Amino acid sequence: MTARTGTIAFVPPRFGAEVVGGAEAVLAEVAAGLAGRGWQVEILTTCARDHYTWANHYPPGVERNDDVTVRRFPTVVDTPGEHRWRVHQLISARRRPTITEQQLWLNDTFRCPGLFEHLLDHASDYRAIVTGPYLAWTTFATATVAPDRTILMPCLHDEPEVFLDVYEPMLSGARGIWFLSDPERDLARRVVPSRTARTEVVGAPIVPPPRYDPDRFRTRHGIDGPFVLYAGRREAGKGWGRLLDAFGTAVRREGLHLHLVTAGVGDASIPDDLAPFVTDLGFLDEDDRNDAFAAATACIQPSALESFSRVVMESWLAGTTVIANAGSAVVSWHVERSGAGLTYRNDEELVECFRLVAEKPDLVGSLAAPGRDYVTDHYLPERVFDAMEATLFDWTTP
Amino acid sequence: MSRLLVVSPYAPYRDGIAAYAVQEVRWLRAAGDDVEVLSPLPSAAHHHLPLGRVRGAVALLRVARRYDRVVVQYHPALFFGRSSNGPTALLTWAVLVLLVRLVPVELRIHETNFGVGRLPHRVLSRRFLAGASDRTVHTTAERTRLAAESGLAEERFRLIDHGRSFTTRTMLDRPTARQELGIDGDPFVFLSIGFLQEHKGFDRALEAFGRSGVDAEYHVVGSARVDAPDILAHVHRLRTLCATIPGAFLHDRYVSDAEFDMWIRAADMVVLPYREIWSSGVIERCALAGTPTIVRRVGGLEDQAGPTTRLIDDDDELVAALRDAAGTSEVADMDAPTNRTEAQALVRERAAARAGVEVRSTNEAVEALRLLPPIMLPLPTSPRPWVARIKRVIHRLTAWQLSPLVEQVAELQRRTVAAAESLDAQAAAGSVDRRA
Repeated sequence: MTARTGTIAFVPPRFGAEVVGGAEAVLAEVAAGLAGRGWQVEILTTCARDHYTWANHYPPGVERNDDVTVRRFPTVVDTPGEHRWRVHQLISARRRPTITEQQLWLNDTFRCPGLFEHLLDHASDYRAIVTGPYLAWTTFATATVAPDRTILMPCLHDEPEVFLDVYEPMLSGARGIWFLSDPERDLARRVVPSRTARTEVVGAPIVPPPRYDPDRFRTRHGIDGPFVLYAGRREAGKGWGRLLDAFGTAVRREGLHLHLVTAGVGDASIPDDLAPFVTDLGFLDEDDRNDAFAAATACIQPSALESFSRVVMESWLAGTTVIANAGSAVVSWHVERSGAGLTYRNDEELVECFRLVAEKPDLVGSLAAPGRDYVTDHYLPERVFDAMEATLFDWTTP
Repeated sequence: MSRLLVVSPYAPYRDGIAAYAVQEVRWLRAAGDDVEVLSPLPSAAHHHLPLGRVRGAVALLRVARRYDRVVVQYHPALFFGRSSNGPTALLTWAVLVLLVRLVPVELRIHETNFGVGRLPHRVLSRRFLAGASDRTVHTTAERTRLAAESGLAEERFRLIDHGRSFTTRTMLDRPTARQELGIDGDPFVFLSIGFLQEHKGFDRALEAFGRSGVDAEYHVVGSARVDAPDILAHVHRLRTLCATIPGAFLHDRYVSDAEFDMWIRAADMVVLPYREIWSSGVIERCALAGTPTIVRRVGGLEDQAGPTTRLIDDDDELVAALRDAAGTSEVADMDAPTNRTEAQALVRERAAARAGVEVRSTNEAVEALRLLPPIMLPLPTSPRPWVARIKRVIHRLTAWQLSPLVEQVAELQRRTVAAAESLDAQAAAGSVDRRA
């Protein structure tokens, strides 16, 4: 075994128990996992909790979080968003923004000069600096100041922004890239066909909960009968609006007897006439969330922009079938490999999935059978951390 | 420990002066200074101000007073945008003169506009320059030119090593760098690297490479910084040259800093055939990597030249330098004219080749249309809440009239592009004359 010498820095845009975000969750778990294996680990992050406002919530400075040192730096949000809007308009019109426009776009969001300054002074103190997701300003800044020590966990989505020129040097110049899935790596090859950094598909660590109590969940929230679950951010980009539309069609037009339960952050914006069929539980603690997965007949993943999809894994661990948007190559890949769910290509197919849940709940429930083994075979923390450590030993030196 | 403000374009923007500033800030901080950065656009700097406008320069006065000294990475666009003349520029010069009186200002001069414009502009720019506590340049040529422009003695311009704060951004040796970059075999590798712009002269280096007949590879690496028609035409010309010259390759990509240095490490010889330049960071990066250079004697490059630099004055010397570098100096110059007729023919052939790529094809016209910024109503936002409120009110009052017009023009743009694309597709199929 090669020595675990040197400090590994992790740079997520946000960090904290109340932070909701897939990439942040993965980076936090990996940081804790590697610290548990004896690595010196630091988290370098912002003081923000909310990814809508990026307002400073946590105090700046150094704190200790179990085995990990956390250094927080204040965010600065002082631009009106005109450049982001303009580039969004250009992309929508299928036009390529110039490099100057792209650079303005990149900086027309929260920024974190203190973090940049810390890296400028101390990057060489770290054996590796692990950062992601690719859209975050912190990730781009890290890769700019210390590319030779940067290991990207980009969490790429197949969206127009990923093809902007400004990301090419980030992806090609980093010391290495950890991908969460094969489709994500394939996407990176499309983004930078000529050359990418060293890469490895490592996956994301998924820790099986010690127990599930679906009955407690039903009792606590007064939910009876079969239901489908959506757990995640209620945002257009995550497919929430279209899910709600299709569910509305299922219960209004098709008259299906079905309930939708949703948990997470963001405004659920449930139409009045759907209110009897939809239960919004808001933000749930981890145990309650796990129990929700176990209680559901099926879990819906409506997002087409996924680089891994933790909710799919959490659903399968809980023994629950996944119904997923086939527009996400990554989730389709998981479903095809595991066989533990269904995918839909359009709203009508989603409505038919709902019909199957309402009419044949046992059949739908039985589809989940191979899901738990799929997760434990590929994404148990030990396996993922082994793969990450192998690359750390190979790509970096103390 | 002094409290210091660096005024400069800054990371994560990627351009030469921003990269230079980042390295100098790192160097100053390591030396114990308390450094903050102010940039003209939002960036990783601590502050940002619209320095290209008078109000930005005035705001800089207020910020600068809080520091013991100010270091300005000076180039005209930092304070003047596109124009150094006119009444706005005059006001800006006046504010800058006040700045150097308020606080010690060190000027790191990268490019200049001193001593140009009308008399008041020239007077104020010289006062600004004379009032600075320190003025540094990278080469004696720059110093001589600045002294002539400003009327200040040469001794008042201090020479500093362009690469004093540079550090290498790759640890790879040459074979590994070549492997990483996909350079197979063991060819002699020439390299020109940087943003693709006509003043860099990469096209003349490729032509010289073609004439030299050396058994080697010539790699041009870089990207167009802006999609201006003249730059697109230049990139097209480079592409055409690489397609017709054996061993020449264009890597039209926006490369990372690490890859930039990797290319320099991988090359046997870096060629800087610039038509015009003040000084060059590439020479310094080559010196760091130990890669020899062929450099045109222009601007201050002669002063930057090290022991492994070969200076050239014209294209014939460039051809000879390429041959010497690759050890093939006996190869005859097949293109060299031997009489007036051949010379005339060569002139016409080269001019026609250049004109051929500069004439817009339908494809390029389509590209130019696509690049037209979309018309849209300005977003009613501002970092200042009261301004945002006013904008929202104006937006509500006027949107009912303006929005239909904007949508109409946007639709017109879309349909024009679609029509041009259709024409281009027909031309590609041979049914329409591309030049029609």
